[in-house]
Amino acid sequence: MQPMHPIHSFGRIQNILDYALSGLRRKLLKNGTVFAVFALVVFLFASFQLTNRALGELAGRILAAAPDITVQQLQAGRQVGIASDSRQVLQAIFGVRRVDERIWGYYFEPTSGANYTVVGLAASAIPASTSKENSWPGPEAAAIAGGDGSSGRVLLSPGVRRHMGLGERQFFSLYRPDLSLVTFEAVADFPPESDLVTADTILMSLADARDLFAIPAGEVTDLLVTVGNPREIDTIAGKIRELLPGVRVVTRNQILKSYEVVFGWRSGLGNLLLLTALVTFTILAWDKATGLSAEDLREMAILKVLGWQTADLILLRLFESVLVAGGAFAGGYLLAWCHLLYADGLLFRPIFLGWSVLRPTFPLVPSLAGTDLLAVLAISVFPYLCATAVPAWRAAVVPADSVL
Amino acid sequence: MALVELAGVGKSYNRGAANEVVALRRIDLQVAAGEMLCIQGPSGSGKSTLLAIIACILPPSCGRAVLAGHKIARLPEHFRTRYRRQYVGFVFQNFALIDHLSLLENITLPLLPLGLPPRRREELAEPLLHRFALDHRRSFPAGRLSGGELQRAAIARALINDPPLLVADEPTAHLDSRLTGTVLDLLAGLKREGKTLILSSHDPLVSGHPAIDRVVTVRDGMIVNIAAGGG
Amino acid sequence: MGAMSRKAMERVAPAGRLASRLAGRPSSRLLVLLAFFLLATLFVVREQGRCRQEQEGRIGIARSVVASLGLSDLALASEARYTRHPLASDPLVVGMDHPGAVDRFPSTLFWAPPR
Repeated sequence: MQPMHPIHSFGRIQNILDYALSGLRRKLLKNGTVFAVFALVVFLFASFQLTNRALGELAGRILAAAPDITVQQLQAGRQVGIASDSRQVLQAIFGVRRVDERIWGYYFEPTSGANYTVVGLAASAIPASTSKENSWPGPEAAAIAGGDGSSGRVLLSPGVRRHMGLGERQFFSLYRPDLSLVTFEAVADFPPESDLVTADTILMSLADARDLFAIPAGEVTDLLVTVGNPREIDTIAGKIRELLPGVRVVTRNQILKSYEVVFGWRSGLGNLLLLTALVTFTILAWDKATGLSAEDLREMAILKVLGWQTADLILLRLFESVLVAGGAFAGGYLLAWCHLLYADGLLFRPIFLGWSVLRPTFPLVPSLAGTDLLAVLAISVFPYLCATAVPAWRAAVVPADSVL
Repeated sequence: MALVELAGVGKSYNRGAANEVVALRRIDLQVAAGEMLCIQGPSGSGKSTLLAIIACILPPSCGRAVLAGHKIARLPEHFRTRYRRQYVGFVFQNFALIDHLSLLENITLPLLPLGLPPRRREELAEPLLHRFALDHRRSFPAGRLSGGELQRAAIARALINDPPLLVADEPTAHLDSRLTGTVLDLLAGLKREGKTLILSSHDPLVSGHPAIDRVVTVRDGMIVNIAAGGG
Repeated sequence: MGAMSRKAMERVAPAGRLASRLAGRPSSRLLVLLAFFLLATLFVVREQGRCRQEQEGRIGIARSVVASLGLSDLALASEARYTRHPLASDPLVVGMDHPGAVDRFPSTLFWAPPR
């Protein structure tokens, strides 16, 4: 009796892979279309996710420096000015290191529809200029600190300067509520690096801001509380609520958490929007996968008679699906990654910016997260493999005698 | 020892259903190693089913079937495929080449699941291509071959595993009498090399060929006559 | 002479033929493609590391601005109060400021005030 033909398992896998690849190449148009659509869906999903994550992480890291506690006065559910006198009450709380007054508000430019954010701070509240690397303010910002009185000197974001058409000029005017003009001197710009938080900001002294918005003396928009020990923030926030009923107390933790929620919620919404793409794709995949032609079935039956096992045929079909799905996934994700790295998420950026007239520039850096990868896999590769599993099985178990 | 032994083999399709078809009933047949057998009978007589059972493609519904000492009647598909791979070369009536593959690829298809690398596959195919005068056609897609070439390619493919048994279903059905002669001479040559051949045909040219040892006549799923062949 | 040259060719061929056949296998080509993909991946991951480092410096500056001015919100969508300062505006400001205001899609889809 003859010896059994030995089977080289690696060679077998390689041969079947070869066969699958030639099969895919033969139907290049059909498989190429599925591949392209598949990669596009992955690209869109992954781009959105990566943009969202990059922005969320960026926000979290920048806002980690947000004030420990912000205190605002509420009246009838709306924010109103808070009495400067409250400062003394806050200062008296044990553990509070310092309390700064701030006036901020929006200045609407009706002709262009731009909304400037005006921030007024007492000169004493702005830290002295620092020479430390990667830090602000540098020497150019010292100019704003013209004493606690009105100086008329302001700091602008480069975007606001461009939008006002200032160019090299330094003087510009804004209207008070009674339509009288106030003239300001733009002495310096915010660093471009802080555009994500200052794209629309004009910084001036507290007195100038009070003058511009006509806020009565003895009133500010909010009080910023710096706490000595970060672990005491919540305790001190509780004390403030007790001492000053009717105020809103926002802690840094709340800010970070809220942004986390905002970004998480957005991610879900975005995915919802992209669901249509997924549905279309599923239909396509289903159509492709279930469209098992008589020719295919005949080929499978021939192979079977020639000694191919059901397992070989399943492997063949599996390779076909995995090559398409895996390739499209890898390609789409790589493309999405580059989209963020080199185009700063160009495609989805407008959604985050809305109709803003002043748009910040900020580079986005993608970050790899297992959950993101899994989510994209789960909505693209997984349904595709499921859709192809049934016809693959049907093809593999075709009876060998059907070709006779 | 007989290479093929069938005892009381029957086959029915759709068993127990209203449209049950009995293709074979109580077939007893022994084929010795080195024999060349022709199974003849009208179409629908069960020839193809009988060949499929011998070639381990179909399991019989009842009876005993032994191939090279292995009981194959009640084997699961996986094992039937293994024995088929090892002992049987099968030539389809319609050649069953895959049109878009080249001749060489078609011939070496049975070697793929064995894991042989391309070079080794070509080495094995080389003598067969030469022998069946297909050298110059090796990279032609099968869809562009002539009838005679297709038949020779189908036989070459059946021989690539070097099986002891070659089963050919109507090997000359699509050929004219000149080509039929050529193919039969090729098969006779294989017999001389010690292969066992089982052919089905309703062509008297085949059953009358001098190399045929026995002619088995099948009608309505039963063997009605076994006669000595032209040899 | 023709026969000789063919013989000579056959003697030279095997090594070259083997190489060409190995290269000609679809799976080998897939491997090459995979290698390219891995290289590309490595490259973009390194690029990301470089950008991340660059960003680190930017974040440092942005953070000191945030700390100096006590900022609490991103300047992403400055079109309306409640999108510019979700943290510091009132939950009801959307309707209160201008009951007939057109919803500022698409950013309001994302920048709703926190509850």
